[in-house]
Amino acid sequence: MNEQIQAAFAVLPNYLSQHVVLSVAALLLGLLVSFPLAIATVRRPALQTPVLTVASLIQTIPGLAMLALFYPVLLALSAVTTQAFGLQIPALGFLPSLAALTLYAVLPILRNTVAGLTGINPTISEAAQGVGMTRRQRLLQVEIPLAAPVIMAGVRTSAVWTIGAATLATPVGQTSLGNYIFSGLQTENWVFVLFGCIAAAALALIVDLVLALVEQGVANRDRRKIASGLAVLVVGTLAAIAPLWSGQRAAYVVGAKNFSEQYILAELMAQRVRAQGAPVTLREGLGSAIAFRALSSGDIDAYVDYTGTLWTNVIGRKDTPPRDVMLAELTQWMSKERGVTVLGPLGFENAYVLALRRNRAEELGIRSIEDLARHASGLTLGADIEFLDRPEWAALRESYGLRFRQMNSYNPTFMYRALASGTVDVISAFSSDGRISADDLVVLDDPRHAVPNYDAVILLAPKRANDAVLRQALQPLVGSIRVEAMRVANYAVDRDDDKRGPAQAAADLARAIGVTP
Amino acid sequence: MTQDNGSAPLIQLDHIRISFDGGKSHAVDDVSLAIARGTFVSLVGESGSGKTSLLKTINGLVVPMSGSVSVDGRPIPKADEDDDIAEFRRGIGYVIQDVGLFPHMSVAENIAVTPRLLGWPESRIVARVKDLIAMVGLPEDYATRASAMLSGGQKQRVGVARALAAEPKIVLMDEPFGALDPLTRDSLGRAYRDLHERFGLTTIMVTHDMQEAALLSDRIVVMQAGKIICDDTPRALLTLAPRPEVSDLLNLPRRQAERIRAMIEPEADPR
Repeated sequence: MNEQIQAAFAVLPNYLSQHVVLSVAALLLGLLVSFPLAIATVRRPALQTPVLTVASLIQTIPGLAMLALFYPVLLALSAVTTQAFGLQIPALGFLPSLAALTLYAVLPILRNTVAGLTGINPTISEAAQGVGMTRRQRLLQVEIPLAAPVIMAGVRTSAVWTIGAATLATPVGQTSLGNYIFSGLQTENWVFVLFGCIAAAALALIVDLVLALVEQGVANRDRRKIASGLAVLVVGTLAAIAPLWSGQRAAYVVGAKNFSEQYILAELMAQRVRAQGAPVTLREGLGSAIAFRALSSGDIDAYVDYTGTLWTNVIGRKDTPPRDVMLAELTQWMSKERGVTVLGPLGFENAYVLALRRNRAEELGIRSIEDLARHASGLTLGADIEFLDRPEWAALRESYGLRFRQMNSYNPTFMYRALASGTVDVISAFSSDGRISADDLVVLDDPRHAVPNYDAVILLAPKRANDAVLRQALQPLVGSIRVEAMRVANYAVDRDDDKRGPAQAAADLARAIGVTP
Repeated sequence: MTQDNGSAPLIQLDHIRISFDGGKSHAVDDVSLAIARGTFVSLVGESGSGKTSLLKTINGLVVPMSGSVSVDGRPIPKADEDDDIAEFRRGIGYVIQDVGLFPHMSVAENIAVTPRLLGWPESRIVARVKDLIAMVGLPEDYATRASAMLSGGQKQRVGVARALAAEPKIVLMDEPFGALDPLTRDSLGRAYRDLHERFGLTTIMVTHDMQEAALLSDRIVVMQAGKIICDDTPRALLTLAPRPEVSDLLNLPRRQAERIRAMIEPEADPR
């Protein structure tokens, strides 16, 4: 527990500084967009309803969806600008996060500014005209000062929303306090999840309190309160983002999808590259499809993917050739079609497999899926939530004629518990899952090769194809990780007692397989 | 129509028509009015008679459907010529019933608004504000007060000071003393009339109170349903009693005074 908290604090400067930079940028940009928009709509009342409706509609888009939406948009935009000006726009990370959060920041400021400006006492507006103010002078000298407390209240709401929503930037590759939450959820590290939630909430609360002081100052025309509030904000922001200046700019970006094994392997690769003296950052928690696109567009330099996934999802093949054939064809296709280098397999597979408790398997005499098919009508299958909808299940069912008595879906933790308690007899597992060794499970053979191979392979971005540092750092990993070693590392992160962080697990793994991190 | 003889009128309204419903009805219906320099004119009439709308055409706050408004022989700027109309308004004092002080400014800042817009040097503004605070009968230390903290009468004194700050030649007043208690109303009205004389102002005041109009102005213009029904000096109106609607209005204070006297001396009751 204590170790977890220490690990969490160790990455806090990095997460917090990036979170603050993103939030501040989105808020400032939101102000820049919404303020003129509000003034324009106040001058042309016909615009008011459509503008506010669109802003409200944007607000109803779920945060995660909005962030995800900007990825393809920027990708398309990047394709256009690359063709037209040779300028590539990064589609992952800061830019999509900034765009989505800015849209979120707009509504509260826009709505309050419009309300504040239209809510001015008509007598005062008439007096402002009567004393000879131009439209601009009325706006600057009377309307904005009088609407300022209402506008500030909008800025405050917007700031709190933006800080909260910035935690959702993690899956599109922008580091934020959300990294604690997303990686914690995937590795069931509740200390990290809680730490991330508390950190984000505390940040929002502090900013809210300081902005409340500014708001009060604006309402009471108390210059000292406004100045001290703003000073606290500026100093706080600078202090929070200081680590960004002290740290050198990362030369290499290593990606990870959103599960424990990926976090560990990314850490392992990062440690190896750092050992070469090159700075590295991690882009963790990427969606499965996003990770490959990010690599081929150069947003990340290296990550680990699985042959079967690339074979079906990227190439679009339906057949399942033998391991060597698949790897050779895949390597050639990647290099020819995408310029992506398949550096080589790590030496283990992370495939969908069916598993039983050892004593149960021995009792029934089941060693392969063929054996299982004969007993299936009397057995219950426990599956993870997506398994029953996946092509792997359809392929298994058809090749072996599997008909279970009953099939239940669980989240992974409960699926293993159901197997241990005997509620289910067979489960769908990932072959590198640490719980296979820990719970003493038997993985059934697939003699008919119904499920493709899922060999873990290291991929390099096109621009890094001949990068000496990356190759030197990562080549020793090829063929060096046996599935047992990977299971131990995964289990160290997944288990509840004596839980390890991905970085610790990666270091342990490096020692276990005999490469120096 | 009474036309002051001699020099050309300072303010000239010609065939003014004002409509707020696109021409279906007229708040002001073909009214012409010429106002000579230095006069104090009251526009009197019931609510909805068009007197306020007519007043606001002079500083361009209301734009007539047809007709023309000239000040000093020149047509006033159009409402969409933002800079020109604003500059033009700086030369006209404007006092309204609800005062409309800027709540985020102190008393002194409110009074200094128009001089600042005109770019007066700061020393001149400070001196002018000090003078005006004294002229409208406020204590000197009120300059730094927040305008929201003042009583209704004090606010309107500041309102009058603000209207006079940039030394206008013309002052427009819309029910300026309407919301004040009778004593404050009387004293502030008289104080203003003195300032009107002292600075040689031309004042147009809208009021529904015939007594106030009679006591303060040189000329009373009575409006009804968008038209002028009577236009004369208070003295002429009081003595000649031209029309029943006007004489009713004029005689009301007199009859009220008689009723009060009857309370004090019951045997003298004429009725």
